Amino acid sequence: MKQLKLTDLAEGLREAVIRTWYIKPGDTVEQNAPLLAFETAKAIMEAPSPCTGVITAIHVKPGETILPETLLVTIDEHDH
Amino acid sequence: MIIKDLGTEDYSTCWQRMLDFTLSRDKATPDEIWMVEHPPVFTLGEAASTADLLQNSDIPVVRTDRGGQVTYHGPGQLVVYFMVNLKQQRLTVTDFLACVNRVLLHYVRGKNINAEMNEDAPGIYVSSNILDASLDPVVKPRDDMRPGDGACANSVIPRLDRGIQEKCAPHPSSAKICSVGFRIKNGCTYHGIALNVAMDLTPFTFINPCGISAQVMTQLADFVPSITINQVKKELSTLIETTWL
Repeated sequence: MKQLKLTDLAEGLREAVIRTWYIKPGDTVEQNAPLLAFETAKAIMEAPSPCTGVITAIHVKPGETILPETLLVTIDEHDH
Repeated sequence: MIIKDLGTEDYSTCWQRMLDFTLSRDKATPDEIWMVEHPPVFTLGEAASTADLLQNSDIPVVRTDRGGQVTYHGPGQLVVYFMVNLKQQRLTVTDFLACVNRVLLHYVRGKNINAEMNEDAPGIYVSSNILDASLDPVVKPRDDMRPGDGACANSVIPRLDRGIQEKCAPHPSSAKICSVGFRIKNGCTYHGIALNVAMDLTPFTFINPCGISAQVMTQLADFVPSITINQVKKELSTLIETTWL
């Protein structure tokens, strides 16, 4: 299981707001495929998935403010 | 880095071209900066509220995919779009935004305008009148502005990553001269900044710029009456070329 936080997806951000999830629980996501978009300092950043696997849980909703250590998503990583 | 002068181009056409450029670029594609004026248009950021459009007008409204809230573009405003591959430049999004804001701040202050950034509402603001030349060393060009070494995010940069709209507060004592809004796709930036040069600011009164009511707008011509868009294009191009990439 890989548990992703904001700090795993972007360096140096202190805070962001979730805008869009491109996946839902049960989906398989490929490495580098779009995972979510969040907004910080008037920049919307589409963050790619750092790994391939099945989404087991999404922990924050669009509109929620996230901090570097906020748990965002859990991915059951595929072994390759 | 290629800087292009697009003259005047319709907003939606230019947006589609930015998107096409970003989706089709690869590692070898040079970064591009586009300078353009748009015919009058209100644009809404992805999360902007239509409630910030305060009155009906003949000016078209476009919902776009950039960050930020509602803004106005029109003749006499210089829009600068940054298509930068952050991965290739080894820049974090925070470093990138800091670099863009620093170049703009440096440029506006170079006109003896007392400009500042605001950590709660990204953009460039003018706090009072004429800058006292001794007030601030402004930004150090060149050496500390090169990407890749993290130096762009040094201590003179306010905490730019904290300016999400939810934290915005009115700034009655400062007038906004430059707005920002970006999107980052596949590690590459598009959209950019809008610097008010010599324009009719009236349409800004039809909206809550940045979702902030009573945000007063200003422009370079209020301080430098003879300024022209072409002059700003030339000077800003030179500044970007010599201080950034």
